[in-house]
Amino acid sequence: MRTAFRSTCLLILVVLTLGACSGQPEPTPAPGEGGATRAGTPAAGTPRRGGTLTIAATTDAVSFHPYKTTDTASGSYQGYVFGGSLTKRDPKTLEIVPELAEKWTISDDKTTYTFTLRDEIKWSDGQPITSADFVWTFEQANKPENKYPYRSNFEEIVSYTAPDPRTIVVKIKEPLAVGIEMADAVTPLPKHVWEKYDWNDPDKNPEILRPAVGSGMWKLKEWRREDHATFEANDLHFDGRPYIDQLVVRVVPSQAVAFQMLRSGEIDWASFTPADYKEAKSLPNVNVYEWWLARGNWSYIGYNLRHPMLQDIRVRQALAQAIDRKIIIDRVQYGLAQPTYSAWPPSSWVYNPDVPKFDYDQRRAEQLLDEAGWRKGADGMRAKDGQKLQLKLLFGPNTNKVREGIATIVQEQWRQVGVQVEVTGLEWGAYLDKLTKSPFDYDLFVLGWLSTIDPHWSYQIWSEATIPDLNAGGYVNKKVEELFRQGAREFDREKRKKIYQEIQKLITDDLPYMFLSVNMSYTGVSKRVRGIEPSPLGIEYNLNKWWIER
Amino acid sequence: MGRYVFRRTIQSLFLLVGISLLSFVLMHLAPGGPVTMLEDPKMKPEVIAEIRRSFGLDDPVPVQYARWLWGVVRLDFGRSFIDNRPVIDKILERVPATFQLSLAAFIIGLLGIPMGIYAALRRGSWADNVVRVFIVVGNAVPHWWLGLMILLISASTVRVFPLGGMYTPGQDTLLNRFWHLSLPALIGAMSGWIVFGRFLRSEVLEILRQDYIRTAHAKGLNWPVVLRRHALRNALIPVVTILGGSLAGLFSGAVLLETTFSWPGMGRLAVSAAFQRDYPLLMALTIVFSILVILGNLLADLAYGLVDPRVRYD
Repeated sequence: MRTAFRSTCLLILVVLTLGACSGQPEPTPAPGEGGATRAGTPAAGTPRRGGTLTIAATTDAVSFHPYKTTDTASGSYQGYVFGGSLTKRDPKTLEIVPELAEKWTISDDKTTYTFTLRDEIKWSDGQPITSADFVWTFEQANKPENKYPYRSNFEEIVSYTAPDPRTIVVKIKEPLAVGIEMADAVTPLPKHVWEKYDWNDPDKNPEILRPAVGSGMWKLKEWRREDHATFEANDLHFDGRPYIDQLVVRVVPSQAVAFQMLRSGEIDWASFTPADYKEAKSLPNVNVYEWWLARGNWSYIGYNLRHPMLQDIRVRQALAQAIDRKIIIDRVQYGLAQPTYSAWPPSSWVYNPDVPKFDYDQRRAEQLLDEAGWRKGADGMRAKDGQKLQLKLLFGPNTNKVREGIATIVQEQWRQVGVQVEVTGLEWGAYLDKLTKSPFDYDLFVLGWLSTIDPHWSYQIWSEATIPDLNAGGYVNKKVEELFRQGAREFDREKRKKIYQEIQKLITDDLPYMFLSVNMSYTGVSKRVRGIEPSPLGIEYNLNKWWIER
Repeated sequence: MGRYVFRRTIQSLFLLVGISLLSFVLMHLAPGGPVTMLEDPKMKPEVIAEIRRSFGLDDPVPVQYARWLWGVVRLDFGRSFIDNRPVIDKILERVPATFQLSLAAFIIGLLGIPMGIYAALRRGSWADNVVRVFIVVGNAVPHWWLGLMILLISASTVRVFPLGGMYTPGQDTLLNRFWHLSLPALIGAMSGWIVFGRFLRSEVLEILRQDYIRTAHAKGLNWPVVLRRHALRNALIPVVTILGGSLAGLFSGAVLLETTFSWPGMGRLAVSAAFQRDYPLLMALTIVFSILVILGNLLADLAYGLVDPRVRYD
């Protein structure tokens, strides 16, 4: 669901399950190199109603309750049925624009947001969507006994009221640049349907697993768990009924199977591994769409800063400079990525291109290690005071071919400068456990982040308060934390940008991570599906404008 | 017989408790508990603590196990950590799919019996060689891998089989269901062909060398009668012992089969439960699969006594 997805900081551990193949594809130029998106074919033609769009998903949803789940698959299903918030991001400018609200005003002290709902917005059963739905949903989700996992989203909200059916007044504690995102923290549920039922128990609330009434583009028609879910168009959707009559989500065991189904025409839309990218581009029945996501998806190697060896900045810099990002991008990511050196990707409006770049320089890496006292022995491996420079590198989940590839390549590259590395791949749960629980028995870890459009939300991964969960490596820089606080309270965009650029410089100087690459987003859609326009938000934002050519 | 069944049932109950205890401990020893899997970076520590408490994970493992066992005694397997539904409901809704696939695979797998007999009777012929090669190769190749290869070939060339699922959404016809069932059932049946084929071939060859077969011939009985009355009847007795085991094996093998073919049955549910660390669901599935295996073996033992008069239950 979008509310949880956005206002919960959108810092999601990225699970990249990618494979291997030969040859180099020709992806969309990176932002700043001539374009941010590219469509497989122009979205031309005359839209027409009808048809079924079948898509593949590798995991099934758990529940349609938007305030009970944390998984991405459930979020998608919930978005289909309960889509719609007061505001949204414009797919081109990325500015916050109205969605269910037609307008809003902000008080002079920037703590009170007054939203006016659009006229004639309706639930799928024809009842009007009113401010009472928002307030009721907020009240339910905010009750401690209802255990909303992201209840902390509401911490900044002082009051959430509805003076009339079309007005919502949200008061927040303090003026913040991200105040509107905090105020728009609720995706409404139909009060007239849900209030009859129990909020928590699916046995006492049929809407949790079989929602009959929603606000999204789609209505649930059938859900056969671990097999498929069928949705039909919502005639009363506030942005207009989708052209497509039915949306079917097929649950498949892997991206490899999804790709084969896309190739055979059994499904219309699937994501696939970089290994299949080249083949996908050559398929006669498939358009491959590419874009650089505004919420950039970047990979890194994190240092465990508790380890005395890695507390020496020279060692961290040496390890960073011993890595050839180009090899990683070419061999592991098949060119579908670009190098990055900063805490925000180049697609971010606060990206600082002038941060120190610890690019590949083997001689400099060796020199730094020498300076740090790690000398090469007869076996070519480095040691200091009788202790060998041996490091443990973790990656996970162990099914993630990209992370495995990164770990393997850096192991070899570090061996060349005399650093011995033991690589271990772990199952996802075990990996998170190992990273975040004492005794923190590792030195380095391969992971990824999906960053946020507003830079403020990234404070969590650099905050002392989030050690050891989000900040697994244990990075602490009080100046960085202070700058984040300043950035959240600064309303002038240019001044904010400077603050976040300063943060990037400080972080890169400290080098708690080796920033590796930002991944290009891409997907394959059947050529019979038209109306797709990739944007930095992806392709799904205008699903109601897609149509099937017959 | 009655006493034997009673004794075996009591033994099975102890066995089930042992399996459940071992499974429970192993689950809790595995790194990354259920809360880790639910955890989102933004969730606050107090929320995580509350989730742990509500799942009962704050209690010592022996207390958790005792509570779980007490629930099971009252036929309450608990609620899923993931979606708060009773786990028994989640399992029951998957039973038909698993039953459909397992039964189809089992029935088709019985073709291994005539296959083995035929190979034995035509020993040294090309048919016998084909069966022997098939058995050796089939034994060596993982069946899920073979299934994947067939899926890949089917996707890239002639689309003989669908690429998974029970039926095409929107086309829920009997024919469509048969089409979707065909490949997973054939792959599932392979173990039956191999086990029964190999067993029957060697059993029939062995029996054909016995004195009583020679005697039957000497008495002037014709070959079909010797074969039907003396050879096959005796050869089929030991098959009963492996029937129960293979039926149970089909259910436990459903994990791989259902995952490979996107079949929404109990096997796939077990895989999801394992990845999500959904302890109550995983425990309930462990018990269900264990009961099936124990029951299969018990039935085989009982059937053995029925078909072979020399066997007596003490």
